[in-house]
Amino acid sequence: MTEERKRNLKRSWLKFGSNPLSVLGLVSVLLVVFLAVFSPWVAPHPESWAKWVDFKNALLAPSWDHPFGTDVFGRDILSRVFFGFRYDLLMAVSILVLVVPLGTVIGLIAGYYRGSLLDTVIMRITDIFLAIPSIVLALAICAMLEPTLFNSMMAVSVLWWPWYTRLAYGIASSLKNEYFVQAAELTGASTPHILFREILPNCISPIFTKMTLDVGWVILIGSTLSFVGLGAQEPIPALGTMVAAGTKYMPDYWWMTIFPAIAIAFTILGFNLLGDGLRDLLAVEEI
Amino acid sequence: MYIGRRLVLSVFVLLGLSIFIFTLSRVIPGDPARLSLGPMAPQWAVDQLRERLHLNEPLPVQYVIWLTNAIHGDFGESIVTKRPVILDVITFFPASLELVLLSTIVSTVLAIVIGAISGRRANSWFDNAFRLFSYIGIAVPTFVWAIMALFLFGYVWKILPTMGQLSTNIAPPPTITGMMGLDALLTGNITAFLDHFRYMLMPAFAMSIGRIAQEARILRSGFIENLKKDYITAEVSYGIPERSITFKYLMKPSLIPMISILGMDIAASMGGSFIIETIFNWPGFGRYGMWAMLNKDLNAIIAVVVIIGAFFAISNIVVDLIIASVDPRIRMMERGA
Amino acid sequence: MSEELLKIEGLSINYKVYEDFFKVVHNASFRVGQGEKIGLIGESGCGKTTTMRAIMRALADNALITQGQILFQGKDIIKMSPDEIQKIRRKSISMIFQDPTAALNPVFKIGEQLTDIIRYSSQAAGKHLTKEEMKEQAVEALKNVALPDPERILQNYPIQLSGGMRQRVCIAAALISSGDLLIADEPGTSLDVTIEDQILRLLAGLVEKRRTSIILISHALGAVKGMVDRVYVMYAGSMVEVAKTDDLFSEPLHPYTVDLFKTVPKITGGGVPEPIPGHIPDYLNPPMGCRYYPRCKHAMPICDKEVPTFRHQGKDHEVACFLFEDVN
Repeated sequence: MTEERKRNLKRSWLKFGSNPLSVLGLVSVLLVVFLAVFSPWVAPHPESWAKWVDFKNALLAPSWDHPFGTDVFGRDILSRVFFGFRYDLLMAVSILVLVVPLGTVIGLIAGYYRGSLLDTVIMRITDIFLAIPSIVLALAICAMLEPTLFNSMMAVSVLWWPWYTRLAYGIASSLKNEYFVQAAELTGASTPHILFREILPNCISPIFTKMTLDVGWVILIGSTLSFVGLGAQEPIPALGTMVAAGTKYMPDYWWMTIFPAIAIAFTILGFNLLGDGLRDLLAVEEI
Repeated sequence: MYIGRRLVLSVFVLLGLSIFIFTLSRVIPGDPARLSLGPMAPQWAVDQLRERLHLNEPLPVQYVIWLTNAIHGDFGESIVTKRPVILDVITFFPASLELVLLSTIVSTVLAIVIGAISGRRANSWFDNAFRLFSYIGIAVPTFVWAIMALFLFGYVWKILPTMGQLSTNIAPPPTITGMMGLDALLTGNITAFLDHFRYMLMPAFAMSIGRIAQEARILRSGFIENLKKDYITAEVSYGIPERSITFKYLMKPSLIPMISILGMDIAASMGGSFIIETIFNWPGFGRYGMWAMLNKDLNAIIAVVVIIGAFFAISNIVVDLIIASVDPRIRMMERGA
Repeated sequence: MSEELLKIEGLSINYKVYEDFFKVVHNASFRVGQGEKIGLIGESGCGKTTTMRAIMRALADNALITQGQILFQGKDIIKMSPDEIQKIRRKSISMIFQDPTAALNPVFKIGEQLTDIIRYSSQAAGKHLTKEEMKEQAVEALKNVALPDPERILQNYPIQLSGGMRQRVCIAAALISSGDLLIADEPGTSLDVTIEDQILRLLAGLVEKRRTSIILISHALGAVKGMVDRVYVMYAGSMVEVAKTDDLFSEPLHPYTVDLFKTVPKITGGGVPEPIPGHIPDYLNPPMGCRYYPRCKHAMPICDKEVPTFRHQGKDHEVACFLFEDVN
C-alpha cells in the first residue's frame, strides 16, 4: 500500500471517527451483525427461537436468568431477540442483494439513453411504484398474498428497486455528456463497457451509502409488516411479530413488547448513524 | 402550462398504479366471489356473483369495466362492511384528514423553530441535543412510537385515553365536515372539542415525531448550507442585523428543501395512519384500509391504493406550486423550458 | 496622502479543518490612506480575500485571527464590540464580492434587498426614512451605477438580470453602506472582458466622485495599473512588496514580483512568457522563513530561517526581501 493511500485511509478514519455518532453507529451495527450471525451459540436459551413451550416459566419478569423476561410460552425473550436480528437482517440483505443490482442496471440504462423512448418507459414505470407511500403498497401486496416471510420479502423487493433506479438514473444522465464518456464512445467502446467501467464506478459511493441506510429502512418496513401480521408468522421470531404478540399482554407484561421494540429501534438507529457517517465521509450529495 | 403537464403525468401514473394493483388482485389464487360470500355459500350463488362481477371476462375487459365504474365513483362493494366502498371512503376519510392536518400543523411549526435554531447555532448544546433526538425520531418506526405512547400515557400514567375518538359520556357533535374536532368547534361545542382533542393527542404525536425530526433536519442543513453562501456574507457586510438574517434572508431559501419534502411527508402520514389508527382504534381511512388488507377485501384494497395515490399526487403538485411561488429560479426555468 | 484610514499590522489568520491548522495569512501588513486608491495583486489562494474579510469581520467560523491588529481610524477592528462593528459595516466600510450571482440572495427581489440595506445604513447615521424615501434612494443608487429603468429592476429577482447588471447592483449596494472605504474583490472577473472593463471604469468614476478610499483586488495586472495610486503584492499569506503604481511596474524589486511580471505575455512582443516553477506552499506546513524561498531564483541561506520584514527602498517603495537593506 502506498504512502499516500495509507495517509488517505488514516485521514478517512479520523474523519469518520471525529463524529461520535458515526462510531456509535458502526459499533451498534457490528453488535447486531455479530448477534445475528452467532445467535445459536451466543443466545442463553437457544431453544427459544422455535416452537418451544415451558409453561412453568411463562410470563416471567426480567431477571438475571432472563434479562428480557419470558413470553407467554415460556420462551426467553433475549434469545428470541437475538434470533430476531438474524431474520430481520437476513430479510434486509436478501432484498438488497436482489434489488440493488437490478435497480442500478435499469437506472444506468435509462440514464444513458436519456431522452429516448426507453428512458421514458422505464422512468414512468418507476414513477408508478413511487406513487404511493411504500408502506401502503407493501401492505397491499402482502395482503393479496399469503402472509409469509418470503412473500413479504417479495413485496418489499418489488417496491424497493425504483429507488436505486432513480439514483443511478440521476448519475448516469448527468455523466453521459461528460468528456470521459464521449471519449470512450468515440474510441469505439461498447455500451456495456461504458455503462459498467466508466459510469458505474461513479455510482459506487452513493449506492454503497444508500445500501447501508436502506438496511435500516427495510428492517423498518419489514417489522411494520410483521407487526400487522402480514409478514413472518409464528414461530419465526421476527421482531415486529414479537411486538405485536406482546401488545395483547400490555401493560402488565410489558417486557414482551417493549424489549423487541427497543431492539428494532436500536438496529435501525445503528444503520442510520453508520449510513450518515459514510455519507459524510464519502461526501455523497446525491442522497 | 406547468400544472397541466403535472396533472396529466399524475393521471398516467395513477392509471399505471391501478393497472398494477388490479392485475395483482386478479392473478392471485383464490376466488373473489367465494371470498365475498364465505365458505358456506352454495356454488351456484358463487357462480352467479362471478357473472355479476364480470370475473369470467378476460383481464383487460375486467379492468376497463372497473375503470369506467371507478371514474363514476363506483369502486364496488366492500366484503367487510357490505356497503359500497365509496360510501366507506366518504365516511372514514375525514377522520384521517383531521389527524393528518393536526400532525402537519404541529410538525411544521416545531420543525421550523427547532430547525432554524439548530441550523443557526450549529454544534451548540441545543443543536447536539436536537441531532441526537432527530436520529432517534427518524429511526424508530411509527408503530413503536405509538406503542410507547400508549404504554406511558395510556397505561402507566393514565393521563390520555387509549382508544376511540370521544368519551362515551359525551354526545358527539353533528357531522358537518366529518372531522369531529372541526364539527365541534363549528357548533360551538367546546366540551366535545376539548374531549376529542385529548383523544387526538397520542395518534397525532405518533404521526408527528418522525416528521418533526426529518423536517427540522432538512431545514437545519439548509441553514448550514446557505450560511456558507456569499450572499449571507454580503448581507452581514452590509450591516443587516442578525435577527433579519436568520428569520428572513436565511429562512426563505432554506425553507425550500423543507417544503419539498412536506408533500411526501403528508402522504407518508396518510400511510402511517394505517398503523396508528389500528393501534388507537381511530375510525379513519387508515383503519378501514387495514381491515380491508387483513380481510382480503379486494375492492376496498384497490380503491384505497388508488385514492392514496391520488392524494399523494395532489399534495405533491400543491407543494410544487408553493415552491414555485417562493423560488423565482423555478419559475424562470419553467418559462424557459 | 493624509492620515491613515486603515492600517493592518502583523495580521495572521489560521483556518482550522478537523485537527489541522492552515496558516493562510501570515504577518500581513497593509496601509490605506484617506481617499487613497490601493491595488492588491496576487495569485488565487494567496490570502487576499481572507484578509479583506477580516477587515469586515466576516470571516468563516473556522477562521481564527491569531495575531495582529486591524486599525480603522485608529481603533482596532478585531477588538470592537458587535455594535461598533455593525456601525462600521453600515456606514463606513463595504465590500463588493467577486461573483455577483452568488452575492445576491436569489429568492428576494432587488428592491427588497436594497431597501433593507438603506434602512439599516440610515439607521446607523441616525436618520429614519419613510418607505417612499427609501425607495427613492434605491432608485438613485441604481442610477448612480448607470442601470437603465431602475424602477423595473427593483421589482426583479437576481436571476432575471444579466451578469453585468448584477455586478452593478452589488456595487450600488456596497456604495450605500460605505462612506470611507470600498473593498472591491475582483469585480468583474466572472464576467465578459468587455463588461469587466465597463465595470472597472464605473468604479473608477464613482470613487473619484465620492472621494472614498478603495482597495481593488485583482489578478488582472492591466486593470490595476490604470486605476490605483499604490499597489501591494501578496504571496502566500503576506505582503511582499508595495510601491506607487508606476514604480512597481517599471521597477519591480521582489523576486516574486519580477517573476510574476514575466509570466504575463506582452503585446509588444519580447519573448515567450515564463511560468514560475514550483507551486504555492503547503499552508499546513509552510516554510519557516520567507515563503517564496522554495521557488526564488535568488534564494540565500537566511531566507530559509527568518521571515523578512518590509524594507524601505525609495519613496513609498517597500520590499520584504533579504536581498535589500533598509535605505532610510
